Parts: sequence; structure tokens; C-alpha cells
Amino acid sequence: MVSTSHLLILSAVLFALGMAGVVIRRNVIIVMMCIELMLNAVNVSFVAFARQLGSIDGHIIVFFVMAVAAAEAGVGLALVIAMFRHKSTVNLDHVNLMKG
Amino acid sequence: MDNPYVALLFSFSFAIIFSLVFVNLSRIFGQSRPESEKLDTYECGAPPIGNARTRISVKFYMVAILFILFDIEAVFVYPWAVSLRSFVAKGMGTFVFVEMLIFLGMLFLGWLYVLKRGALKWD
Amino acid sequence: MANEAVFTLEPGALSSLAPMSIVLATAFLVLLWDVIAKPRDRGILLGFSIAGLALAAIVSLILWSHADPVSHTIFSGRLAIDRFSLFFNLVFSVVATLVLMISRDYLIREQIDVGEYYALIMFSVFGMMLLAAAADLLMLFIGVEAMSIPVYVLVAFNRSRIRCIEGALKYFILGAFATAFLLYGIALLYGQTGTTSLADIHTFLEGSSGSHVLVPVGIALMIVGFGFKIGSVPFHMWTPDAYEGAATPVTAIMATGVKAAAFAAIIRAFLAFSPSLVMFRVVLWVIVALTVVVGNIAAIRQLNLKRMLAYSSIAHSGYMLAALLAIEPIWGPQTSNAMSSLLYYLLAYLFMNIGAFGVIVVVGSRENEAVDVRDWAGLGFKYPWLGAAMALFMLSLGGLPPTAGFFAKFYLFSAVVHAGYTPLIILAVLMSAASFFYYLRVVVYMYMQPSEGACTPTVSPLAAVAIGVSALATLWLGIAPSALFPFLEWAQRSVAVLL
Repeated sequence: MVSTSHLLILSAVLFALGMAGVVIRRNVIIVMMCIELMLNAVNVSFVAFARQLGSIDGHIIVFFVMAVAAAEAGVGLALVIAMFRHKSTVNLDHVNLMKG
Repeated sequence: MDNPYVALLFSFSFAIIFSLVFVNLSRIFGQSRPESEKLDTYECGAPPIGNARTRISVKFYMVAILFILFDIEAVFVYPWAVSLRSFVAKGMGTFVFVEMLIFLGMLFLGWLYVLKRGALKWD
Repeated sequence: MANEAVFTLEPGALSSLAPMSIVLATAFLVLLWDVIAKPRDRGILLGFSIAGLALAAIVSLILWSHADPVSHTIFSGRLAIDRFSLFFNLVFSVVATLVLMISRDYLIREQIDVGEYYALIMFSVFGMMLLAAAADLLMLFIGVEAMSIPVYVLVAFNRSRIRCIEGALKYFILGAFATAFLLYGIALLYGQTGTTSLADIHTFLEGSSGSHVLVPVGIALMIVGFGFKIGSVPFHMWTPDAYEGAATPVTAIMATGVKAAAFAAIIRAFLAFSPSLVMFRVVLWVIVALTVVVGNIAAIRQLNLKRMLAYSSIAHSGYMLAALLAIEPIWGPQTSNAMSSLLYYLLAYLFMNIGAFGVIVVVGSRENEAVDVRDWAGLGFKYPWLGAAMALFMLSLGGLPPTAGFFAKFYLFSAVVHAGYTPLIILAVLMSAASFFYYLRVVVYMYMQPSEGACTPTVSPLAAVAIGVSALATLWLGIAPSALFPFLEWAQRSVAVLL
């Protein structure tokens, strides 16, 4: 039987992996994938809590998170395309015009 | 037979058997005259064999982005459809129905914008 | 389906949504008008947008004057249409109107005058209104995103300039990163309290003995998320780049509207968390001290005006965050004072910032954005009105009497001192004295340097009105602050009854 705490640990691990990815990886697309991973890790938490509490709110929130994540992905991809047009790269290390 | 998963098993088996039977029927009885035009990639597909690192036109990204946005909105319609009856029973059917119309109306306006802005024009 | 039957539609619920609905409808109208009617002159879209905002402001005022002194939540406690949110509706309408007025010349100058700009501003304003009305963590999340996503696009709006894209990318990645933290915090709070309603969470925390592990973790994660949104140290690294890269009018709305909306949500959330906030006092104290010090020190070495204002906005976030330290576990006069002074500070901050960015917009040209303070040499003599307005905004940001900035700081700092944080406020006062160094530098360049500045301001009537209104408001809030204070206290009282 999978208990709520198992699911919460899974969620925390996924969230931490996503976080590490955002910090470490330099490819914008991968960074965006890691952010999606973080959001979906939270979704696991929501569903686990909703199951434990027997409340439907957690399930509904997941839908909204998915929709918001899609909207963010849309904007993010558009930004990546715009950057690629200027610099022909998707490496975050080359995003360095402004300093200080 | 009171296990609810039996129905699921039936459904899967039916799907597999049905598809196998019909694909093979057409292979046995159908005429096969392959030519280069017919074997070519159909409609919008990409050639399956070759270098994976070729440049893909940015138009694909545009369609992909729009697809994500409009596709995901369907998740809101399913819970609405499931719970509509209970709202009707409580006399709030009209309100809840109009709410969904407003939601779909906004999506429609978004689609109208995309269409008029020319984002779906391929040339 | 345990709680299938909780949804009820309160009488008057739909009509109290009117301000938000008007803004949203205007956004769609502007968006579609542009692609269907294809007007050659986008001035009509500007007109529609401002008309929509004015209508929303009027409706908010009417609702505000008829509003219950008791909190009014609709949709089963999801949204609170009380005087607090209506007050913010009004603020956002004014902010967006002023920003649109200073945008026009910039858009034409940069040849990016397209309808989407106006629509995105309106969509973002809708998100801000939703955020200020959120009485539920889910609504708070949706509000944050509905506000932020249009702003991500707006930052990248001038896409022929690579700095825009770069700033937008940094803002987007860190913003989305922060959203994930905010959401995780919401998830943990939901898991522990079993509800997403702020009022219910407050009741739960009041009754709990404090042995719930997930509550502090959840609140901490939400502080991280909010910290990113308002640009407080150590979550501020995106701010200067995003502010510098974005088109100047967009920077103006990021520094004002977005920040005000984030603070509205923070106030609501923190009041709900007030029984458990005691354990976060030290953390908040450190964040405030770091934000104030880092913001002011980093601003000193900025010769780029937009970066300077970015760091200055970080410092101002720090001052405003200090007010949250005065929140007591149980609502009392101390909390009420601190919150109303925070609202007053926000109001003053909005006007002086929009004014400052407005002057930067009109001083710049396509060839030279005039963000380097050295380009402003001698401007005060060549353009006395512009120079005087900019000097006023700078002095007010620094907090010199009798401007709005002084009284805002005075009320806020004294409220926090009453709560017993004298050392922190001494630090804040010292730092705001240091801030005169970089604010006055602008004034010194304008008035005490030989007139060799390369910039050629072009002031359109629209921008002149916006800058004039901001200047008048900055003066008026400074000279007659009591005229506005009861208004704010009422807005405040509506939060009080929420709890």
C-alpha cells in the first residue's frame, strides 16, 4: 500500500531534482523542462493530500496548475525562439549582456 | 463477474483483436501497388530516417505552442461535464452551463485572434 | 465526492465582479479590434483601454462606497470583493492608465505600436485585480500567473533589441522558478490544514498548538515565492536585468502595478498566517535588513538610471516588508496601523515611480535611450518643467519632506518602531539617508553640470499629463496626507473583518 508519506517523499525528490536542474543546467529548454518537473512534483503532492483528506480541492488545483504550466511553456518557448533568432544559441551562459 | 476491471479487459481485448483482424484482412484481400509517391511521408510528417539534428522550421514551434495552449484547456471541460448533472439537480444548471459557454467563448476569441493574426498561415 | 454541495452563488456575486470583467472584456476587445478592423492609428486602442480602465475605476468606486464594512466573499469564499480589493482595483486602474499614457510615444518611437501591447497590459491588470481579491490560495496562484505571464511577454515586447529578450528570459525563468516554490508552499499548507481558504487557514492556525510540521515549511516556501515577485534580497537577482532590458513603460508597470498587487496578496496571506508568524520574525528581520542594505548600496554605483531605479525599488520593497513585522498574532491597532501605512507607502511609491519612468521615457529617443545619468547634464535648465518634475520624484523617492515619500516613510517607520523594531528602523533610516547620494546625483547632473547632455526630449501632451498627474499626486500626498488617510483606514478595516 502506498501511503501519503511515500507520495510526499516522491514529490519532494522530484521537486529537488527539478530545482537542481534549473540551477545546474545551462540549456534553456532543459531549464524549462526542469521547471515543469517542479510544478508536476507539486501536483503529486496535491493529489496525495487530496486523497488523504478525501477532498476534491487538490484534484481541481492540479488542473489549474497544468493549464498554467502550459501557458508558461508557451511564453517560454516563444522567448527561446526569439533568443535563438538573435544569438543562434540556447545556452544561458551566452545571456550575459547586462551586468552589475 | 463483479470485478470492474473485467470490462476494461474486454475493452482492451476487443481493441487489439479488432485492429489485428482488419489490418490483416486488408493485407490479404487488398491490392498492393506501391509507388514512390505513395510511400512518401504523408502530409505533415518528417522523413523518419536521417540526421536528427537538422533545423526545423520555426513554424512548427508556432503550431506546437498554439497546440499546447488550446489542447490543455480541455481538462476543464471534463470535470464540468461530470458534475453538470448534480448542478442541474440543484437548479443551477443554467448558470453552470452559461459559465462553460463563457469559458469556451474566451477560447474562441483567442482562436479568432490567432486566425486573424495569421499565425496558422503556413506560407 | 465529499464536498460536492459546497458551491453556492451569493446574491450580487456577479455584479461585484464587474471591474474585473470590464478590464477583461476591454482586453479582448482591443486584441480583436486590432486584428479585425486593422486600424492604421492605434490611438483608438489606447482610447478603448483607457475608457475600460476608467469604467472599471468608476464601478470600483461605486462598489466601494456601497461595500459592506464586513468582508464580502463570493464563490464560496474564493474571492473577496471587499474594500481592500476595491481599493486596489482603483489603484491598478490609475497605474495602468498612467503607464499607457507614457507608453504611446515610446511605442511609436520604437515602431512597436501594435494592439497586443495594450491588450497585454489589460490582461495583466486583470491578473492584478484577481490577485488583490484572492481569498483562497488557488485564486492567489491563478492571480499571480494571470498577472505575470502577460508581463513576461511585455518585457520581451521590443524584440528587435536583444537586451529585451535577455531581460525577459531571466525574468521568465526566475519567475517560473519562484512560482514553483509558491505552489509547493500552497500544497503543503493545503495538506496540513485541509483547506485552501485563507480564512479557514487562519482559523486552523489559531486553534492549532503549533505542532504541525508542514505549516512553517509551507509558509517559508511561500515567502520565497513572494520574495522573488517583489524582488527582495536574496531573491532579487533578476530585478536589475529585467528592469534594464524591458521597454521603459513596461519597467514602470513592473515596478509599480506588479509590485503593488504582490503586496496586496502578501498582506492577505500574512494576515491569514498571523498566528504562526512569530517564528518567522527573525527570518523576516534578516530579509528586510538585507534588502534595504543591498538595494541601497548597489544603487549607489549605478550610473544607468533604469538599473538605479531597479535597485531603488528593491530597497523600497525592503521598507515595505518591514511593515509585515508589525503584524500581531491577533488583529489589533498595531497591525491595523502598520497595514494602513503600508498601503499609503504603496500609493506614494506608485506615483513617484511612474513619474520618474515617465520622465525617462520622454527624455530618451530612438537613438539614445538616455538611461545614462551623464546624458542628463544640464537638462534642468534646458527643460525646466521636466527637470523640476524629475527632481521632485527623486527627492520623494529619497524621502525629503514635504513630498509623499517622506510621509510614507514616516508613517511606516513609526508603525514598525511601535511594534518594537527600533534597531531595524535605525538601519532603514540610515540607509535611506545614504540613498540621497544616488537620488541627488540625478538632480546634480541636471542642474549643476554644464549643458552638454546629448538627449533631446520630446514631450507629447499625453505624457505631459501623466507626468503632471504623478507630480501633483506626489506633492498632494505629501502636503495633505490626512485628506487621504481615512480612505486607507477603511480599506484596512475590510481586511480586519476578513479574519
